[in-house]
Amino acid sequence: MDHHQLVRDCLRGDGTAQRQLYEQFAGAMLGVCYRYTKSLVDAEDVLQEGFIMVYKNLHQFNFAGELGGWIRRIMVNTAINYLKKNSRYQTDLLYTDGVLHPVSDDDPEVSLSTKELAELIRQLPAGYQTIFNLHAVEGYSHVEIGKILGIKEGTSRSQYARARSLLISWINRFEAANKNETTYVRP
Amino acid sequence: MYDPRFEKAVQHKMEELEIRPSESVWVNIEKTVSAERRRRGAPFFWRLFIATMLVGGVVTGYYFGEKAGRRSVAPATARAWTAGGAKASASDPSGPPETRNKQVEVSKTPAAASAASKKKYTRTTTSDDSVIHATIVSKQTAEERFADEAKTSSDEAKTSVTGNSRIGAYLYTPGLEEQRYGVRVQGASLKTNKNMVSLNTLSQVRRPWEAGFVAGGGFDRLNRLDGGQAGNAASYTASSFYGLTRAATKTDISDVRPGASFYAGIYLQKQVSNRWTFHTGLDLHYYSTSVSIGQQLNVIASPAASLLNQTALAAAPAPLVFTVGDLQNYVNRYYLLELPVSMQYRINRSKLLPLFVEGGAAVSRLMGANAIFYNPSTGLYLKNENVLNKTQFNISSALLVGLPFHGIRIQAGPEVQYGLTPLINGQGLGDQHFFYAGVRLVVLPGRK
Repeated sequence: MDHHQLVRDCLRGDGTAQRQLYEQFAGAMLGVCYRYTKSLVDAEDVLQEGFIMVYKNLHQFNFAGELGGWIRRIMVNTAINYLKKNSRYQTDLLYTDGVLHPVSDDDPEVSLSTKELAELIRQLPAGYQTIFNLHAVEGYSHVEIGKILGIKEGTSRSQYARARSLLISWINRFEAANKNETTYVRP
Repeated sequence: MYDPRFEKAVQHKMEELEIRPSESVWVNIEKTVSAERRRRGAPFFWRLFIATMLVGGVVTGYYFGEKAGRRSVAPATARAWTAGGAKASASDPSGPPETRNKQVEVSKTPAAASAASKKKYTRTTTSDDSVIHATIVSKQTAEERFADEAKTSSDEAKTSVTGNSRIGAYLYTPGLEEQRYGVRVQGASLKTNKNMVSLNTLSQVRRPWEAGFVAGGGFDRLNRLDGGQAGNAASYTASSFYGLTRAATKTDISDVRPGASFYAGIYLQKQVSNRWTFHTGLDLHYYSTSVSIGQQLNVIASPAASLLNQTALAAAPAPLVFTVGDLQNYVNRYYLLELPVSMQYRINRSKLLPLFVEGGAAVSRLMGANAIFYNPSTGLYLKNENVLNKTQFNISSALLVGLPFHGIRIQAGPEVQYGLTPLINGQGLGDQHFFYAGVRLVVLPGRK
């Protein structure tokens, strides 16, 4: 069944179609939610809220773009709102205007598995983690990130540079540890 | 400048990330989406309910009124068949002019009508020497019925009845035809020299269903049925709260204060005897109470922190959570659809100021609520409809006085109602029961 028909069936209130839509995208979307949160329980909470928003706003989907992309944007927005509302993330989301941190020229080969890389991203402080995800993975510009998070563009750049630098150092350590066949110690 | 190849690699790898969610996620989504669908349907339901009530009330009121109106003129408009097959209409204006014009007495005022009623008969002579017998028996002196021959035209018979009906506008005369018109035409006979005609009408008293509107307003409060249970609930709440917060005082937990309450709906009644009347109907009842609360929390409470209903709370995207305190007043609102049944007893026989006492029961269904409840395990006020018993049984009693108003029968008076079903089904919160006291108004449209 194509997405057009699936959306129309969902809008009619067809429970089977709604379940089908969920089955089709839930795995990938939980991956998105997982990258923004610190635990799988939180990620599932975000996924749940996100899908509720999807069903609530499905009538606004105009079939212009990919359904998956539209759902993904909802998930990202839901995740950011979740982080803003949840007290456990609030202290880490205090973005301070620091000195602009230059982006390093390091360009490591990312030989880690998807799961390993995701785990390393999730080890970043919540502020770094959010900005890194928004810029490196979702492709938002720093201006857009500034608007989404309510921070200055420069702050976003600075935080991203620190996050990238930190992540690369962890990746290097991880890969070095793998080369030396020593046990990896979490940063 | 940094090379975006790193970002591309990360992006590529993250797009492959897929994790299978647990089954409970879909269960919660499905529950919330279907609840949302029901909530969206609710405004439509309310509109339909109000429209049905209005249309139903008007149509049934009109129907019963029309039916009763037809019956009231039946003796005068009934067609009589002579033995010879000649048809004579009692109210036929095309009859002989002498018959129509020779009216000895026409009651035009209530006083005159009353006098006519006391006189019990009217007399006239028709041109063709036909004699029309009409027997009109006063309701008040039913036991002293007598039959008196009267020479009258059929038009007079009608006039007599119509004239007496004007009394009804000034008296509270519920239910029966004879009560409304003050007199009852038991039988009429048309006699001619050669032919004999009989009209047998209203030989049996009929007590039809009547429809109208009911409304009321007053206040309600949450009572606790059992003093011991209430004490336990209070101490349980207080100890849990102190244990958790270590800083609050007992006064921080607000009392549940009374609030405004009102209702409206359609009303059906059927008189079962001269004094007893059965009532039913359908109405929408609004209850409210108020509590003092602190500030609203912007955090999403962890589902595990709630004793109320973990699944429902987890599914709610932005739950209403308040701390204890007295920063603001919060009004808990409840909307219940009620199906009452009751019996009404007429205490006196006064037509000017009749008194009624009524007792009955009702089953009601909670249609919506925004109520927040104190949760002793978290020390917070939470909104959660799942702790409410959605089906409620209650008993009620009322003392009503009949107020006639130009043919429209009105009953008004105080009433009380008590909920037999506890409002909350949660543990440790006490058996809270609704108590309502207010004024009731019943309007039964008059007959034509």
